[in-house]
Amino acid sequence: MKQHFKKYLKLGMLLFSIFLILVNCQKDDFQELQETKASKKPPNLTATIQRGGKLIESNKTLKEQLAKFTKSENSEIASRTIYSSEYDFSIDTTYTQLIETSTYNSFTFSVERDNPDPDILENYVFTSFNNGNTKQYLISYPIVNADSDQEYDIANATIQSINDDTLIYSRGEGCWASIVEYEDPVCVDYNCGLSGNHSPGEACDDGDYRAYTECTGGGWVERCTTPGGGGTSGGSDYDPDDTTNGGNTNTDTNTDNTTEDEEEVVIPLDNITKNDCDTSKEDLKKVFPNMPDTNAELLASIINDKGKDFGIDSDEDLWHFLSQAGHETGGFNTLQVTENLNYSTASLIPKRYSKFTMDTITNPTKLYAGDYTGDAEKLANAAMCCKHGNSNEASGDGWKYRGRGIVQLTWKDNYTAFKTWYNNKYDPDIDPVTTPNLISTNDTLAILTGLWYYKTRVVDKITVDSTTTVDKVTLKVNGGDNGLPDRKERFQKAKDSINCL
Amino acid sequence: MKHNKNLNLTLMILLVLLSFSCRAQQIQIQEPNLSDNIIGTWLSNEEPTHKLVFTVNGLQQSYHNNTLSSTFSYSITTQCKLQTLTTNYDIFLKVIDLEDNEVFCHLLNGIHTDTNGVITLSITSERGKLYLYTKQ
Repeated sequence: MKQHFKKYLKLGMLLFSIFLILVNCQKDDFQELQETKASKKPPNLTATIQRGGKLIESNKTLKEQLAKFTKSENSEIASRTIYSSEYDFSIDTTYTQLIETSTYNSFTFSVERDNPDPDILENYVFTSFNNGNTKQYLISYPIVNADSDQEYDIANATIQSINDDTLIYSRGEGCWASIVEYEDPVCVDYNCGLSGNHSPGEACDDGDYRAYTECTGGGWVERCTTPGGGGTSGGSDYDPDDTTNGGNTNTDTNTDNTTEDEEEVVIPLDNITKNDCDTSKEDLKKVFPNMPDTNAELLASIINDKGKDFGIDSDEDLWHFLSQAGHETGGFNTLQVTENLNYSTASLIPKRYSKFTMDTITNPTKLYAGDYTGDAEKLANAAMCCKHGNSNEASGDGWKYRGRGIVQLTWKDNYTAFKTWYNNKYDPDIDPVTTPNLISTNDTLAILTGLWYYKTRVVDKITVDSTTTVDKVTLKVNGGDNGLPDRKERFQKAKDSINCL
Repeated sequence: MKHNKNLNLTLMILLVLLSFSCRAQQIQIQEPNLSDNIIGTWLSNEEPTHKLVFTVNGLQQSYHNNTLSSTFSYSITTQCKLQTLTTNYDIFLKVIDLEDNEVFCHLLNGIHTDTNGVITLSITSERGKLYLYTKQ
């Protein structure tokens, strides 16, 4: 009996040990996964995509270099696209990829051409070293998977040096720049096997284990790029501590061979990110200090989520939109601006609309104003009938489609056009033509009408860049320049206070 | 034969008269002399530093603080873009941006003289906003 007990005890301890080993292994897997995720940061450097305008203005060396791209005397460095007649290509300065290391800063721009090769991504890279030396490159990345998420064939990237203001191919050897890219790890789900089919994280049927995901590989991979077609040497894992490979190497191959700068790291800058302009409640309050917090929060979230749908994708677009909408709303104190059609004094009505009179004996074809005092709906139906899509007085369209939202969307034609656009873009079930009050009861729609109006009147008609004046935008929005000084003041305040985030 | 000729002539005259009658019914009633009365300088009721000048040669000039800020050509018409106004006292102030020829169909609500002799120009912009100006 005693021996049996010992046997069972030993067996029990054995099973318990196996259990502990398995649990421990699983824990190791989890830690490994965490480490893989943690390695997503590129080592030894900081790579950020920033708005170009402010970055250029704050960097003297870069600004001087980009002066060579200035198209004409009137063109500004901070404009979106600037052309160099010397290099015969343009660069888009809307977004710049800034790579910062302990020894240099490099700035990557997207290159634009009149007839671009759709299969090639071109970047212009300007590097400023701490010792005062500079380098500049034109790098071409073959695009693969153009129809889906763009990927770049780093192994076949080509690089040209720009030296003495001339584009030349180097005949030198060795690395010019190390292109680093992040490669996704390969992950496999383990879904409990015989203990049921479960998603990662869920408990298996036996209750002892959980389904999990195991990832291998991935991380930042660096490839040495040499000039000429297909001139990259084989890839290697990026090791920040290995000073013979990657960001800390000293294998300078600058074409003039006069500097001993380190080989720098570049990362492809694609066009995918160039369609957004974010802002914040705090920034909006800098421009409109009396704006209620709730309005600022909502406006910021809409601009951040949907601004690009309305062409708000640059500092200039943001400033102009805020200037125009800020004027119409009196600084966004309210999101609901409605034309006041309620006149308590009859004589005020003929002053505004000549179809009304105080004297129907002399003017028998006109409407008696006294019948419309204190009745905004009746007045709107008579005064606003029969144009811009509004039907006759009996239809009630004048009142239905009165000014609502941050730019006072008015007329049935405009309500219909907005509805069509909104239904196609966001939600087919919202119908502001059938239920126009939606625009005055839903603050999000009130703001979206303003963005839509700005898009159709400005973004769709003119190019908004650093040369676009408030005068021009105001004429497009308004068909005149009423309120121009106030709009200019608001624009300047926005320009001085905020940039796209 | 002669009766037939008379009958044809009578029918023709009736048709012509009828067509004139129909045309007369379609003509909307409009404020007289709008085209003349609009000529001159108008100060914005909302912005004291803003004024519009309508010239005899069909230009609408906008000034802010006595500085010319924009110039449009203008016409007073019942037709603008693809719209035709047929209701009484409705008429367009059609303005064209001289830089790019974009057309805007504002509404000229009227020019009103009150008992004190103050003359007010009322315009509803294409966007739907009402603007009032006082004659200088």
